[in-house]
Amino acid sequence: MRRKTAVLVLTTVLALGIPATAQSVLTISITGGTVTAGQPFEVRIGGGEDGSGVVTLITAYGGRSRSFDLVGGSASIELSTDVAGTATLVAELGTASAVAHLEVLPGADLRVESATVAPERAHVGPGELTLLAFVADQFGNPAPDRTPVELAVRYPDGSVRRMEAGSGFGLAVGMLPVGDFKGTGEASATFGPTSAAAAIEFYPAEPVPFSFSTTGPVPPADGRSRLTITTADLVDRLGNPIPDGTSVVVVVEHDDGRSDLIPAVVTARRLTVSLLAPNRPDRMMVSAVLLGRRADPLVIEFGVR
Amino acid sequence: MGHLRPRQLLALAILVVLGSGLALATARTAGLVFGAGSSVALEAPADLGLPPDLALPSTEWTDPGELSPLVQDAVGQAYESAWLELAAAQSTGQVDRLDRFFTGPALEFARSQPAGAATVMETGFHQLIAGYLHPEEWLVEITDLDLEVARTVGEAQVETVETYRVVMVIERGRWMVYSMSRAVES
Repeated sequence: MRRKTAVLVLTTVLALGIPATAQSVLTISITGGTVTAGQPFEVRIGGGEDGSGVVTLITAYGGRSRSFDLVGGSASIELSTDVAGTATLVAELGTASAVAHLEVLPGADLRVESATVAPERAHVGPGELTLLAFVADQFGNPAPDRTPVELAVRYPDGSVRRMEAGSGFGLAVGMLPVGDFKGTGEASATFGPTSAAAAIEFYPAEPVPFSFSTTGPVPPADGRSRLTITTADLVDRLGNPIPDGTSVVVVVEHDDGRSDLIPAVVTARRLTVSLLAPNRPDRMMVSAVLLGRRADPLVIEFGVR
Repeated sequence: MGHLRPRQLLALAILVVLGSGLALATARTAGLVFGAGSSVALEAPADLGLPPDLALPSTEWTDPGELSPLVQDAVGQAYESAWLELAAAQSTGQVDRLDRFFTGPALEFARSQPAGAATVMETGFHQLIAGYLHPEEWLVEITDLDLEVARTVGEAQVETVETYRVVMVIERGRWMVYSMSRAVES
């Protein structure tokens, strides 16, 4: 027949060193003041009849047991756990048992475990970046609530904005503006000498309207000649140049209803496309989609020689 | 656990009928199985004539905060599954499935616990409160409030009421427990 010890966990019971009641005379308590993860602490077992018993320390993830020998009505053993938070001690000796609760504080070596930023690719302009950091002790236990963490964003122009966030659940969260500078930046979280960082790519804002123009006369529809079309310098609405390498989709719509999608990239701040003349007369309408904006279409008539 | 709900009482009845002495390992061989994928329902043994859709334990969102119903379901099921996997690992020592529902420091802690010392045998409803939700919805804080937990510790059964503060994240396409701390009761 199993013994059943019903325990209602109350704050008063959680007080360190207070022996909990049980259905027998066995008692269990801890000595000393604060219990810290990774640090040994002494457990005293008293009462009951002399003999060998077992103490089990139960944390959020499971339990660990250790035997003890009760001699002259008392025993003392040393335990430790890496898991912070409320824990339960259960002592068993023969048919007697006792239960107590304790709070295990996180270890002293707090550190920033990780930092993230969202979005990682941000369009410059109004808007905010969400910085998130996980702060934990050397074992991975969340830092105590309100642990102050410095969150910062370094912008492409070298400027830095900082804020302090108090942790909760081990998480420090803060918002900082996106800003108006394109390029590569960095979000970081710092606690003491530890820090973690995440890169941010600041993309230009929406481009200003743009269009193609031809760079020479339109060749005949001979299937061999080429026609180069190009844009003016591409800039966003804040005046930032659209960076080279930015992806563009060129859309070519033919007179017969067919259409071609041609991948391209911004080069030398412009978009330049070399079109092969068709081998029969055609009326092409050429446009492009850059960062969500579509260019005004350019109509090209390829006629007979 | 004086206020277990009817479905929970039924669960206890099942376990008693199974004659398992509340041993999870025995119960599993008698028909309690973990569902595959995101389905985490414990299936009642068919030969007991119990409802086939009996799912135990379960979750309730006391305060879902900003979580959409879809996210509530996904997070709740994953969290519930994490408890089941943890209980199985505590009972059997098989830790190779823990990475299905634990990650980060929680996975390390869960893997490092020896089997057999203290095994969760039964819980009440997980009464969940949603906290911070990341704007990209890949991280959420939840509080599992006043959870009734029955554990087998040696020859004794110990019942407690516990509150957990949990951080869950999406990894490999599923919600996982990243951090789980048993909080001081208030």
